[in-house]
Amino acid sequence: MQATTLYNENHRWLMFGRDPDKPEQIVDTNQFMIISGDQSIILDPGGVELFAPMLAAALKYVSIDKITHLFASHQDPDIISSLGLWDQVLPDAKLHCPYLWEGFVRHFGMQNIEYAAIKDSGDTVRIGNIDLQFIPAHYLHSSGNFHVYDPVAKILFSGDVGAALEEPGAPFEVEDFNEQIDKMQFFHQRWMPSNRAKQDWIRRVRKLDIEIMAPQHGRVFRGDDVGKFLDWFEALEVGIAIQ
Amino acid sequence: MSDNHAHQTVAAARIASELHKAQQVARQLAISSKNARAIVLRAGSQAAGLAVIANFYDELANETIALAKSINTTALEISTHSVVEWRNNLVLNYLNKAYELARAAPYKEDIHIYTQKISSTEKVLDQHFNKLMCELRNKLDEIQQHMRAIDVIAVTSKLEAVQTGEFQGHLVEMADGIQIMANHIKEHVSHSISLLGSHK
Repeated sequence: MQATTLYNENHRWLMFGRDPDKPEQIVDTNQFMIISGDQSIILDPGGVELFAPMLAAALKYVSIDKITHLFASHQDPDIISSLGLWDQVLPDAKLHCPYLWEGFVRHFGMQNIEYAAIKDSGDTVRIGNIDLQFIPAHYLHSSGNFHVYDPVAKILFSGDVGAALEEPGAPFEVEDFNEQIDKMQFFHQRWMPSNRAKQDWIRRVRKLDIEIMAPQHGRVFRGDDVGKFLDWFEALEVGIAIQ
Repeated sequence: MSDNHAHQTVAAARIASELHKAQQVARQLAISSKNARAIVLRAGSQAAGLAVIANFYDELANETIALAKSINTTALEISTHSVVEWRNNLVLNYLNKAYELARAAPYKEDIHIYTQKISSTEKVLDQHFNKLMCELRNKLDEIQQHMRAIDVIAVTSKLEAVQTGEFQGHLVEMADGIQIMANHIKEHVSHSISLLGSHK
C-alpha cells in the first residue's frame, strides 16, 4: 500500500492507495487518515481485501490505540466491508456513518465498535485538536451519503464525487484536468442518480474554502482544478441509465 | 481444525435438516403408537401382553421427537459457533498478513497484542465447539438406540399379535409400518453421523 501526505502542519492528512498486491478484479480505492494529537480517523477504510495492507500502512504513522475513529461515507462494500475485522482490533473506536445505513452496515459484523449515526443534516466531530464537518452528499451516489470537510487544512474528502477508475499505479494527483475528464465521465453519469442532488451539493460546496478535493477512487484535485471540477460536474447530465 | 470451518458450518446445517426430517417421521411414529394402543384396547384380554408394548412405542416415539428437537438446536448452535470461529480465524489470518506487511512500521508490535488475544479466544471457542460436538454425537447415539429398541419391540409385537385373533392382521401391519418408520429415522441419523465423521 502506497501513502502520500496531503497536509502536515498541526495535524496530518495521509492518503493511502495503489496497493500493488490488490487482487486485480477489485476496484482500486483511496483511504485517508487524519492524525491530530492522540487521535486519528480513517476515512472509508475499504473492503475486506484491503484490511491487512491498510492496517500495516496505518501503523507506520500511529500506534493502534490512536486509531480512535472510522468514517464510512456510505454502505458500499469497497467502503466498509472490512468493518468486522477492524471491530476486532479497534474495540473502543467509533464508526461515523449515515444513520440511514446502521441496520445494513452492521451486517458486516460489529460487536465492539460504537456506531455514531450521522443525521441527514450533517454534523461535526472533534478528532484530537481539530473539528471535522460531515457534509451531506445524499444521492451522490448513495441515498445516505456524507463527505468530510476540514476547514483548517481546506481539504474536502468527496467520496465518490470526483472519482475516476484508473489504471494500476496511476499518480495520486490530477496532472491535467482535461485528460482526467475521460476517466470520470461515465462513472459520474452512471453512478450518480440525481441532477437535483448534484446541483444542491455543488451549491453548498462552492461556499467552502477548498484547496484539495480528495475522492475515494482516482486522483486528488488541487487548487484551480477543484473549481474546474465543480464547473464540469455542474454541466454534466447524470442518471443516464434512465432514458 | 481452522481449515474445516466452512465444512463444519455446512455439516451442522445439514444435520439440522436431516434431524428435522427425522422429527417428522417420529411424529408419524407417535401417531402409529397411539393407533396400536387403540387396537390393543379393542382386542381386550386377548392382547393384554401388547398393552405394555404399545405404551413403549408411545414413550420411545415421544422421546425421539424431543431428542430430534434437541439435536436440531445443538446442530444450529454448532453452525452458528462455526461461523464465529471461522470469522475469528479470518481476523487472525489477516492480522498475520498485516504483521508481515508492516515489516518497517514502528508500531507493528501492536498487531501482536491482538493476534495473541484472538489466538486465546480461538482456544476457548475450540473447546466449546468440541463440547457441542460431543453433545451432538451422544444425542445421535441415543436416537439410534431408541430406533434399535423400537425394531426389537416391533418383532416382539408381531409374535404377540398371533394371540389376538381377528386383530392379528392389523397389528402385524402396524408393526411393519413402525419398523419402516424406525428405519427411516435410522437412515437420517446414520447420515448425520457420517456427516460428523470427518471431524476430529
